[in-house]
Amino acid sequence: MTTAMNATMNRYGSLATLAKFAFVSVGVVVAQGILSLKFQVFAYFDLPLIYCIYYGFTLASPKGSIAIGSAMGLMQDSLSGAALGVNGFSKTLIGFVAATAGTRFDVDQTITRILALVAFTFSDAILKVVLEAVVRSGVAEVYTVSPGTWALSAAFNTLLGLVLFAYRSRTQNAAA
Amino acid sequence: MPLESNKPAWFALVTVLFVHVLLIALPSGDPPRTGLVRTLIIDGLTPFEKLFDLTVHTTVSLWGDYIALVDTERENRMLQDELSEMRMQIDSNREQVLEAKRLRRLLDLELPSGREGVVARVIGGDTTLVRHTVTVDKGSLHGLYIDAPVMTADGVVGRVIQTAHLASVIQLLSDAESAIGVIERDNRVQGLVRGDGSSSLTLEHVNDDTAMAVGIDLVTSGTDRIYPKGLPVGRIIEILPVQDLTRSARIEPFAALGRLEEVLILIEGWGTTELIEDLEELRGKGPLL
Repeated sequence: MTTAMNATMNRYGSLATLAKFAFVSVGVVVAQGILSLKFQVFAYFDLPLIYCIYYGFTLASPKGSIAIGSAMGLMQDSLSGAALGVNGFSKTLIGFVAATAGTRFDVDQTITRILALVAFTFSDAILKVVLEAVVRSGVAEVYTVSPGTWALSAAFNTLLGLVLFAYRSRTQNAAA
Repeated sequence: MPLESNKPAWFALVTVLFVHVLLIALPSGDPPRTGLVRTLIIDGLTPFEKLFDLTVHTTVSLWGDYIALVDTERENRMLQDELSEMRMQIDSNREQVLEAKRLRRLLDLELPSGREGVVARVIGGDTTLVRHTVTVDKGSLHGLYIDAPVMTADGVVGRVIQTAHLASVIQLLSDAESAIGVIERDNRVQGLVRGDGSSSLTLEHVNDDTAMAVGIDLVTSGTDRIYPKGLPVGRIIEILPVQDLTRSARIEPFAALGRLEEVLILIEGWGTTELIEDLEELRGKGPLL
């Protein structure tokens, strides 16, 4: 009886965790869309990308990162003019790499996080350019965003990512 | 960590990436249509977008009208509260008047022959840095279809590129993939207006350079078979240097592409009664007429 109850509780616990991540993922993508519409500066952020990296680094679960990256990427594609699967592919790969790095390396250093956030932002951009170029007519016609804009986006993403990591460290220390 | 323990994760990665490649490779159909996966995702996200949009709108409104006044002096608090309430009421009324005016302008538009309009509210922006799209709260259930032209009372906004049941994605004129056939209103010289990801547009492929001048208005030519002829598009603001024996120019769109709230989608076979009902539903108040 006790074993059955534990199994049921574990199942409900897993479902609750799944629902929590699904809710947060939807919230992040929707927030990205609404905030970039209301406030121009949010167009430079890629909240789903930051969330993928944050989740990958902090929980270090490659399979979970694959699922979250894939789902968020598909939602991003659906709400934009991008070909379905472009952001999905990119976010899946980045989520997996971040999670794998989280299991193998020390990603608690600020400099490591900065380098990772910048590198992942540019990797995401390059992956999307290549995939879109394959699907569409050509890179020049599809992606007219200048390197400076990407650099600005990387800077914003890094800044917000660092704030999130700092917040997590602070709450963990407070709990300890 | 030994490599063997990662095998399931690698397998999952390859499988998911393969699925994404399949999705990317899937043809969009002829005529183009929105796939089942995208339709389901957009429909699923629409209620959350509406809820979040409402929350942000309310929060911004409250912040501007109430919270900013919290720091006023204590002895004036009662008066300030009253003033705040009155301001909120005035702002609310002013917003409703502005909204009614905007909707009225949409209603007063002379629609092209054979076209009727569906009014939709913009509920989301693009989720990527490189695209210029918005999401609206009307979809295929409201008669929208891919390539339906979208405009405001000021001018053309873009076209529908994805339709789910309850929401659609609109490609703005400023999107790098957008192109629209235009004609100069007075001189009847034809050209192509393209987006380049910035707030202005580019007029290309104009052979008759004698006709181009700053201040000339452009309307749709109808040659692209998407936009009906004669819809206002924008105004020439700068003549660019000659390239490949053709002239080009910078265009300022008439429609405020960065501040869209309500848009009119031109479709075929939609009655005026439904349009008025749409406007009234959007306004949420009494009858417009």
